[in-house]
Amino acid sequence: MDDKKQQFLARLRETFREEAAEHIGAMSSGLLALERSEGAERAAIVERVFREAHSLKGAARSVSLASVESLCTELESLFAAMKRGTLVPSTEILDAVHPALRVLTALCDRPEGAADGDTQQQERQALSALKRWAGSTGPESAVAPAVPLPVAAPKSERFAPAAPPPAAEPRSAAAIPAPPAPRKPAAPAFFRDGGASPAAASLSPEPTKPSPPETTTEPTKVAPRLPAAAAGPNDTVRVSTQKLGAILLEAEELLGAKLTAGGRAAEVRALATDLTSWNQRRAQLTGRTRLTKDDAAALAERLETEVLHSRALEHTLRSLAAAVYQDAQSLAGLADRLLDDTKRLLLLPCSHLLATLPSLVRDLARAQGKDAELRVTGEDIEIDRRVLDELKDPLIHLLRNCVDHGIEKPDLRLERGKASHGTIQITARAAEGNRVELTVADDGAGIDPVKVGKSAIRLGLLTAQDATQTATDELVNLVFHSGLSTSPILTDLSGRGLGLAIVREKVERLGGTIDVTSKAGSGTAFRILVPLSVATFRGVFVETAGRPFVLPTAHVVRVVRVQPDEIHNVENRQTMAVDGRPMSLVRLRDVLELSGADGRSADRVRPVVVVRAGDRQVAFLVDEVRGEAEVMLKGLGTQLVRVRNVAGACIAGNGAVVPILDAADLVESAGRVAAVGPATPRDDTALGRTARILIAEDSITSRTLVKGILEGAGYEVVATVDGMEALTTLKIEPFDLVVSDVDMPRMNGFELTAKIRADKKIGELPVVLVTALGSQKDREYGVEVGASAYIVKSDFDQANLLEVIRRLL
Amino acid sequence: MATLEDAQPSRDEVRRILDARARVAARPPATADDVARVEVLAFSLAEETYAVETRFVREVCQLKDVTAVPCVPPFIAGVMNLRGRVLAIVDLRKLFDLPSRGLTELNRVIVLQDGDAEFGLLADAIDGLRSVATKELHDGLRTLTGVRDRFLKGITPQMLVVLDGGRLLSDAGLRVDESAAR
Repeated sequence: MDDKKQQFLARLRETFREEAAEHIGAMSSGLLALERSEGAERAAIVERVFREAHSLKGAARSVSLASVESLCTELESLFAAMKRGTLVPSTEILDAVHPALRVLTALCDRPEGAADGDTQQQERQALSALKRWAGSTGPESAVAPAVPLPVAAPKSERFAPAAPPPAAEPRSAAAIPAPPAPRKPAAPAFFRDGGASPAAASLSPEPTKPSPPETTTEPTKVAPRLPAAAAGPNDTVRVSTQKLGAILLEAEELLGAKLTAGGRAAEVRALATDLTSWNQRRAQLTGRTRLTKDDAAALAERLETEVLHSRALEHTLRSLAAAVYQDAQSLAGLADRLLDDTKRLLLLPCSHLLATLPSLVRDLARAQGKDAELRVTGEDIEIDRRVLDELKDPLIHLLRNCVDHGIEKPDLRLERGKASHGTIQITARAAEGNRVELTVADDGAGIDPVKVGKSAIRLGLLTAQDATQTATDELVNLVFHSGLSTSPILTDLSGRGLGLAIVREKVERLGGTIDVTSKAGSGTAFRILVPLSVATFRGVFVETAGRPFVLPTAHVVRVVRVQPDEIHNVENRQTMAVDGRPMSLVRLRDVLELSGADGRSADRVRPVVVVRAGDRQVAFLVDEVRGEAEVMLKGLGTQLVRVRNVAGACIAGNGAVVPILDAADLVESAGRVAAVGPATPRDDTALGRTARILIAEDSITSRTLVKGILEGAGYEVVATVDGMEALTTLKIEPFDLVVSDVDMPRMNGFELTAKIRADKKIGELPVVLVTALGSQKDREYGVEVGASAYIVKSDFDQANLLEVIRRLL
Repeated sequence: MATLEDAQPSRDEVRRILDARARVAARPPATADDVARVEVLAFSLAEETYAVETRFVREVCQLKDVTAVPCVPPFIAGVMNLRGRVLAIVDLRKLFDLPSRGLTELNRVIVLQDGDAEFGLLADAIDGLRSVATKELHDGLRTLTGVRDRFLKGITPQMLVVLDGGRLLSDAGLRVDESAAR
């Protein structure tokens, strides 16, 4: 047992060394890029470097490398200060950071051994150098003399690295006089959120261009600069020699099969030769027109031996057939084992994924004044590394959810008769059918089915009557619906009801399933079932326009047959009812942009496949449904990196390549072929009218930015400069939603929200507060005054905002 | 004569000597520009002859079932199963906008490879290997279309159009990378 633990630790250290090298590499390339970057790009790099330091810290903790951990902590707080804008990255600071990275490399290279004297001294020096900078984040700090790196006027507020704030009046000085810019003659304009200089405003993105690249939600656009961080774990697999040995043995067995096959081929050839010569001799005898006496005798003898020979031949053939059958059997076994074991090479113990999570939970809980502990069992279970990689985000989402909504505050827990600290338990277990079951269970408050029901009714997923008739378990499982949240307020962390929808989408992409059980008051358990390996899954074979395609079974809700008169035309779109719910209906061939004759005439019964991606369902008309089979997903080769609607291909029994379709893409494309009809119940803005949004924001930059984003997304936008003007405008014109800053002159966002809620006419209007105030208290105050969503500016990005608005409209 | 009989070379030895002679005889006559020659694989496609450097050709195989892939540009003829792997097939006629005159046999696939990148080129027939002096390669004729120019290595005095295999394999324009989400 102890031995096993030792082994595991050694393996973990090995993994850590690789991981650490990646993190350090990413940090140092990030820091280098930092010096050459400016504005929003720089902020993105700071963010990334910060995360790298954070990840390395977590990893170091899991292998108990206190020295690395403490260095990372200092780095982290340094980067955090840069993130907050209280510390401006300067060459001097980076001079202190780079040596620290070198020390880190030295420390990480020998995770098991003690550092030598030199390293220890360097470590102390690096630590104190970092501390000097990290500690000096106050306005009156030593930062001032440091020459900030040249910065162009930030294009968006989001990433603008603010200069040290002038202590007393943070909002008055809109534009801090430009520090001497060594390289860029243009005056760098620093500003804090809320304030903006005219210069900065004129540089803000034009409203018609809603996606300034700086606010992009995809880190990939920044990522290429930091290859290690972007690519994640590089594509190497660490394999134990034991596993490799087993494979080598199996491969060697193939040699035997090869020899046997060669032998068999020789046997068959000999038989054929024998038969030929025998037939030739017979032809010589029987071909003569006249027989001599001798010939007749020979022929008689010949006939006799013929019988014997044919028996012998039959015998030989039979034994050969038996032997070949044996060969085929053993070769099949050999091939299967070899394939299986080769797949196993890609398996990694769950511990690779789970190791860093306990510290994450602790940190998350601490940040909310809660106390929670993560326990993990079954970390020895092995899963395909690609599955593990894909599971990381969903698991973190779930853990966040547990901490956010599940685990109660200590005093509340004590009140309810529970231990003051909450426990989250992750259990990995091998399940039937080559699958792995992961459960994430907490002993928190549980999910309130009544609240879920109410939320579902609000979203139009259920009628009030349905809600009373639906079983509790079913109700609780509605939490996976996008947009459904039981949280009274949307925050940047969770509550937007998106997290669980994303979790489900990710799990389904892996061909897995997720469900939840919950007992009000005593906890929630999420159960994820995923295949051990992503390579194979079940698929439904369909045919359209005379061609076969495969749809992943995990995304096929059902296959039905539709009568021509069951198809309805609604505003030029076709719909049909599935289980009493209207669903948009499109021809698969149209989505796939195929031409050619329709396989079936329109006036006949036709098969329909209902495909689900996330919580959107679309019915696809096909010509035939051929059945279901296990398929192995293959890429389309290097030339076809990503083809819309096609996830890959598999090789069918007859050797032909059959494309495997991508469910998420299909549903997306279906919306374009024929805008998705009533299937999405809340798509009411699509019913002709553009939603009108009112913005209240005193900063011209923020105002222009938000206006641009919203207009870009197709909304009609009116902007006002403070709460007072917003309220007046609301009384004159009709609006569907309000996006408001919190901190504004005359009337702030809280006051505005309260006034709206108090108004009879506009009391129901959704209000989204966008703010720099990120504290729990502010959020709670937001709930109190009745805000519908609360987005913290530091996490502000346009996709986030648009998503929230879409949920609320 | 006498010495030969004395020696009486063994059968193996005779074969070895003959092999060596055959190799010498098979060697192309040495020319001054020997260093600057490239070996190309010539193939015919839509009544024209093209060639591609052999260093980019991994193999040539029979055209078997090609599966069309939906939602790809026309120059992707589809994918085929090459010993269990999926290989994309490029149709140069579509890429070069060649008029489709006459019947075309399309019964060969030339598998191009450079590093990780690989795909198959459709061909009517393989004409064989040629050795081309690099300095004899002319730039493209004015009549060639833009797309062809981009993938052209040069044209020999015998009017053999030599394609730039490396360019074909690395050109982003020949790669499909597009998702349904805008």
